[in-house]
Amino acid sequence: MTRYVLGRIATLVPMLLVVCALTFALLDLAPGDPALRIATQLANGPPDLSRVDELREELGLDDPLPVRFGRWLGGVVQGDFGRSAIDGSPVTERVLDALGPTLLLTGSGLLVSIVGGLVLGATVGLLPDRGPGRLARRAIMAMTGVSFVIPAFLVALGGLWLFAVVLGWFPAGGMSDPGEPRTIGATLEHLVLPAVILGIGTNLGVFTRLIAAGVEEQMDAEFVRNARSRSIGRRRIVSAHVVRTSIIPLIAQVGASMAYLVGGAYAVEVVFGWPGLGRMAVEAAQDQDVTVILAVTVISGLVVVAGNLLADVLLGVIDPRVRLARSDS
Amino acid sequence: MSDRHRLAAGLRPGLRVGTVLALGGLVFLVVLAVVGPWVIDADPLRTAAGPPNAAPGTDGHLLGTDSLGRDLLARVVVGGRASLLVGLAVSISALAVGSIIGLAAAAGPPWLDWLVIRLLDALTTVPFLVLVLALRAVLAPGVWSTVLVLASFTWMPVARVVRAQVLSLRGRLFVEAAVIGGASRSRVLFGHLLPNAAPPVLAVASAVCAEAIIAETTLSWLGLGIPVETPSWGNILVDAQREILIGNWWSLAAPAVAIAITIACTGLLASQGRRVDVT
Repeated sequence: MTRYVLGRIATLVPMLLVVCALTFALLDLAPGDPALRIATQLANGPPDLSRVDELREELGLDDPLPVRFGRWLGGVVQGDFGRSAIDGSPVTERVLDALGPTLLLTGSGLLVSIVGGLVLGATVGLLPDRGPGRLARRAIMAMTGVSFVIPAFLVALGGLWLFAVVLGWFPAGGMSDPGEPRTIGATLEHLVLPAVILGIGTNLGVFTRLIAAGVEEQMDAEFVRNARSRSIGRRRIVSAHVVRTSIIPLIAQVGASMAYLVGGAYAVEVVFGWPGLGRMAVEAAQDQDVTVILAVTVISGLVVVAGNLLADVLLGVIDPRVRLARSDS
Repeated sequence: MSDRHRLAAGLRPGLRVGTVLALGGLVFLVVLAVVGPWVIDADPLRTAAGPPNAAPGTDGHLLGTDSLGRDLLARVVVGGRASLLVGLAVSISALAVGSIIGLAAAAGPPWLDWLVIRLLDALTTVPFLVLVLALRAVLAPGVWSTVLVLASFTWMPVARVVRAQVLSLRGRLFVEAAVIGGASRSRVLFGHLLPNAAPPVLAVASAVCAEAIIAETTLSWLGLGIPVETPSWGNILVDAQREILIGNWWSLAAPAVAIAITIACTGLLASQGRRVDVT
């Protein structure tokens, strides 16, 4: 098992490094001179040119690209993401402050889509394919189809309008009411709507169809017939045998869709004014704050890779076939 | 049956209801975007064309107006031009770039294949939106720079499918026959392998088109895509977020419905294409 986990890490880390290098090289092309910008900020007006040169020397901006990348990477490994290209403030603290809310939102959204997918998928898979059952199946399938057709941020805007403005059930944005402290209760109250919308807008449709297909297929499987012949009740067969086996492809899918989920969370954050990494990245892109974008890219990659790894490990624990096949190759 | 016949049969799976509906919907949207602006007698950019925030159905404004009194019907119809153009341009470039890279990986030396696979894996570890934001920080906003930004990060699925298809087709009899018949390497690649890989690849390209339109609307809505002087479905939504908070749902509904119809149609086409069996 250890070997399997280490093997997965050994393939995932180089991938992250490639992304870092590519993004670093790309953002190197961004227009504007950070030294000039910071000097202007510090001098509160047109800066001294000698001061700009000094700053450039200080920040090492004249070094060749690989040297700067190496220095930056060295900092990142030690938990230092450098200083903002706009105002020179340290980036690490801001990124870490935003990471918590992002993880909270992403995790809750994932939970909503998994639970929703299990319930709806099992329902669809068990409904008979005739009479009113067929109608209900079709209705659920059509509803989950919405999450394929409408991008997450539009679902978010629509949900904001319906549930926060028209019905007034939930607050319209932020993590707490303006001026109020962030208590656990207030955070949860603000979390419900964006989390449910994230779940619906990203993965609920895929998960529902996956579980539905798995349940349908396995209701005919030999181990189910065997259980039935031992006169085990239908409800127990479904919950203890069928759904449990269908969870394996679901976990694989969760791992595969991590990047998509995090991207969806970022869009939802912007709609709801959720103080996470997504909102930060958008603001940084508007300001062309290269250091912040780099930091968000790295952290997003880390979150995705960690999610991937977690899913892989979970798969290995649940299904030994996966573990054996992967450590052999 | 020759390759060409096989391909033709594969591409014409009989007229399914879904295919007809999807194609009809897309044709309708494209026609509307192209000729609509001449038919609809309203300027999408003229402010105070009517009362601000007029509800749908107010005289002369079928879909209402936005906060500056601009006619929403005209804006959605004209906005379709930019959004559909971006979707089409991105999927065509993704198709071209993805095919070349996928083909190179499948037919080239092993180290190239290794490199391409690593690159594909790496690019899929970071959310699409973040990659796009990074590139956006480097380029000035505009229609064609938006196409460039989106095309840079949408070719990966095409490359994956082309590579897989070529690898699986390579051992088939008709390819061996072509090689034995003395066909050159490039003739085998472009004359036999690539056309036979077409149906699943086109299905993916159709999905890429949907993804590109979603990404365009997201970017423009964030103020990082198509500049506001050119209406697009995305930048009509710039207003929407503020407007829905005071209950004006129509500034959200009009572009959202247009986007949803487009994605539904392209998605349907993609799933129809996937069903086509080449064997």
